[in-house]
Amino acid sequence: MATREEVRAAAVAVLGGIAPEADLTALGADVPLRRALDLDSVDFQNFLIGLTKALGVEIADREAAALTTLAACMDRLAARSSPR
Amino acid sequence: MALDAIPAVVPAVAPNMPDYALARREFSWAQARAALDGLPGGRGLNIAHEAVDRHVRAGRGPRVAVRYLPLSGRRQEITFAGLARSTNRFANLLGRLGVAPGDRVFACLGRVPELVIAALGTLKARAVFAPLFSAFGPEPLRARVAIGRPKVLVTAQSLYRQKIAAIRAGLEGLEHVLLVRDEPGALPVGTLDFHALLRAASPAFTIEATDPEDAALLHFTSGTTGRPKAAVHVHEAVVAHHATGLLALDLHPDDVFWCTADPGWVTGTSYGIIAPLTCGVKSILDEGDFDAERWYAIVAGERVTVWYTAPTAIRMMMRLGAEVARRHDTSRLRFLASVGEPLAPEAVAWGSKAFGLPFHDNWWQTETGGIMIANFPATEIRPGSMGLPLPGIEAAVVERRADGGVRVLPPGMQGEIALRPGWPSMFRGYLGDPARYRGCFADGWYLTGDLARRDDDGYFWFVGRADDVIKSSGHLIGPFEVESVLLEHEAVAEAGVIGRPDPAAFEIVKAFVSLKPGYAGDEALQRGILALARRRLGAAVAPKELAFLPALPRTRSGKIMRRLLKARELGLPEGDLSTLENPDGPAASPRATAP
Repeated sequence: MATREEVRAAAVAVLGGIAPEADLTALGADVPLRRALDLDSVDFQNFLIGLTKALGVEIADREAAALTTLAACMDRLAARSSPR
Repeated sequence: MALDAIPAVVPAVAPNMPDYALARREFSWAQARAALDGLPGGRGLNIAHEAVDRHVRAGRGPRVAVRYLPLSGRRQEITFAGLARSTNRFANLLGRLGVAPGDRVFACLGRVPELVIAALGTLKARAVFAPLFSAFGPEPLRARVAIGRPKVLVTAQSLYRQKIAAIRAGLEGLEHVLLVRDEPGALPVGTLDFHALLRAASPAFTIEATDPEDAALLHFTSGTTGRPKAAVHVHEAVVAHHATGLLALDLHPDDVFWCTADPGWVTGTSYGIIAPLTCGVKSILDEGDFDAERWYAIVAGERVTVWYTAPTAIRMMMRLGAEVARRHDTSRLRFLASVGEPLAPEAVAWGSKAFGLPFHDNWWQTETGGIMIANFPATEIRPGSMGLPLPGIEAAVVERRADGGVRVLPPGMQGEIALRPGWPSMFRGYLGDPARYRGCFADGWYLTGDLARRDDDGYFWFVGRADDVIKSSGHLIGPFEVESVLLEHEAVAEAGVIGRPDPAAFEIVKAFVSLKPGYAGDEALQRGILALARRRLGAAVAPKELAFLPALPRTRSGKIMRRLLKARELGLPEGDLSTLENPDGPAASPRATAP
């Protein structure tokens, strides 16, 4: 089971590969990721794939749409993930 | 996967074109022109008059033209009368700013009412309107402004801060920047407040005499080489916008129409703004980006009847499953259409599962200005096919001959889609590039650059692009534009960019680069190059994947062989290598691929 901080670290690491131009150290937990990091739909799909791999969790398509911020990722994924 | 043809069903509303064969025989563009009003007093034809003012003159002023759904806050309704006043104000405002007929006005905006006002107000002033894709980064924006040289740019405060402020000084000829406020804080120096100026302008305006052949719209598109192309369209195009709205989208006066296209592309203007307005129907304008559940809620809540969307969105809805759609009351829908990339047969059929209606694919491009080939309400759908040519459109599959002419190919053979010039929304030129325009025509045909074959019944089936242009999420991306930015990186010696097939986006941009001596192709460098590309180009154009190669395959004349990069990427036969500079040279096996 990943802690909230582990989920956050995993998400930031994945985003760093997708949007390497962004300053992720300053990324607030409640900032909408797609707008703030200029993620298009392909980027967002890659973000979900990266999270799935990093955390070893299944992310249902319905749930994916809710992962709009780092806080939402932590809220929804921290409880049930097992990091690889 | 082959699916059976889907027969046309007897619809709840009688289609505007009940008999395709009859319509093809009887249709004439002169008749289609006669269905519009023209400027009062026989003073010509102006798109904005047909879209807005003529409805007000006919007593339809109180009808709702646009229902706007903002990201936050309450939905707004704009009537035809209200739109007539605000576009009059914008036309007056342009006059005060010194904009003359023929001058260009650019807009870089999301899906907001100000876009509609700027577009139609510009047309009333007989200036030329050009939309820019708001997801572009600074470099694509700069390149397009350099070609179009607008006098006025309308954009949002946030977009200006993110993408334009830093390049403003280099935008030659740009005299005024009008900002729509969308964030707190004072407007930057050197910009004007869109709404303050609009309020101060008079709501009365008379459109001056407009020659139907006067330039009206400028739409940017991408080619294989060189800079972007700016296709020029004229006021006469409205005849095709209107006719195709009736025939291909089957718009009826009581429809609620939703075109989800981004306003930065030709669909967003032709069918996001002009066609529904000329047909007098209510349009949905949704500020938000794609979100399947929200979209279903909009279709249900706004009682959308005709929906025009894109394969990328449909494929993402499919991933969620039809049952999610079925939880919403989408029973008002009566016609679904799609454009942007070929629609897979499964996606056509999925519409029936999710909404009880199949999607109708259609095909056209920036240069054609309007729908050219379509699956219609009253014709059988062949899933996976683009459909049949519109009445008034002569289309063929042709082969370019060595002597510069073309040969029309028989059914079953693959070739290039060609259209017989003469329809009203055909582009009239590429701005500042007459040679490139002339190069699009041969033997009395316009050659589209799209490959297809035709079946025995005349249905067209898309095959691919004849050139290296990349189709991604409904946009055309020019590989040269991407390669140029990659070459700006200090470590990059060569760059070649291809479209790699992708289940959601049709293609994604994949870049291959070779490095200058002394640089190692590691993850840090890969991120550094991608970061530069995303900053300069924006996410919609920048590569999604980047691979290092020892060297890129080139022809003996020095051109990078993108075709070969693509064949190797896909594991396909490499084809004719006779022009390859060094066929036994370094193999194109990627050393690193991201993400």
